[in-house]
Amino acid sequence: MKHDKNSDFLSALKMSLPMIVGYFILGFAYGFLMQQANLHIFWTFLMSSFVFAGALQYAAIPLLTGIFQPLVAFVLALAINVRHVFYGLSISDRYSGSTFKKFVLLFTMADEAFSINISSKHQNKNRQNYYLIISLLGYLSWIAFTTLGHYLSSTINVSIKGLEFALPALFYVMFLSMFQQKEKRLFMIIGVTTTLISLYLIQGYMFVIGAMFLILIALFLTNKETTHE
Amino acid sequence: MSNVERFIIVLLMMVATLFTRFFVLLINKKDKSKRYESLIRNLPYATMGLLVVYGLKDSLLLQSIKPLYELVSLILITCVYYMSHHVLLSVSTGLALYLILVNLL
Repeated sequence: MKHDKNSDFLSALKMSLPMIVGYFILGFAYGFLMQQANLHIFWTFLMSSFVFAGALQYAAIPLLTGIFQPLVAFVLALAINVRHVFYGLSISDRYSGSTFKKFVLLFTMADEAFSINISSKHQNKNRQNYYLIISLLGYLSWIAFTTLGHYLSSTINVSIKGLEFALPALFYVMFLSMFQQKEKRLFMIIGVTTTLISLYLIQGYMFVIGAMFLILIALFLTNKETTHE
Repeated sequence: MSNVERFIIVLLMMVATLFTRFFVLLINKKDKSKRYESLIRNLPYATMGLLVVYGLKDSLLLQSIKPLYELVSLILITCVYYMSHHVLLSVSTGLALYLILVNLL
């Protein structure tokens, strides 16, 4: 069956909207904070294009202004972004285009693009372009919004509280959409409960690592049961 | 802090982040047991569960401004999604309600 490239682009654009709204707010806020920390706009651009990880970028602002702590920076980056490991393992079967496309998809992988791409119901391989458009829209809009936010932070002062809720809302809807597959619900519930347990036990950034361990253990255990049947 | 030191910090964070992003390519593809295969088949679902909690972590730890408003909005999102199965509609109604609650109440 031939795939319509236009419809791919349009549906990708539509699905990206909540992501772009969220990035707009969080990106501008990040640029603003970087400017407040008296950092040159070059650093905002560099962080957004090379590191491209919202939560880490926020957490790293003190590390770019205070005393030189290279090891702390490295460990913090690993701790905050370790969830990408699971994203990669989960989605690598879908990201099966050319090596270059796969490279771009993995490089631009983020919570938002991952949640949209993994919950896409079209499992066929022709969806590579759809995945790419979503991921690149996220990547480029993040760079644009953070840099623009930094640049404009001294001139504009508009604030609407609560727009950043677009991102958790998006994750939640993607979750609901995957939850429609009845036979997979168990694994989604496992993901939620283990992460909740870890969150309340650990509370800091490290809770993601704890959650990943618990998920692996739980999946191994349920795996055993299902293969015995 | 000098610009060179600052650059080293950015570089180290980039390397660490790249490692997490490309980790999947480091796994030996030839050694794929049945066990591993089925684990990987179910991992996306568990990971989505992790992500949804991660996104709401501030409210769950009661550190956000309005955990109750978020809860109400999530309930609305659930209703809209189950009635319409429309992603964009669900996100935007939930967000709209949240904005109204946060800004007007």
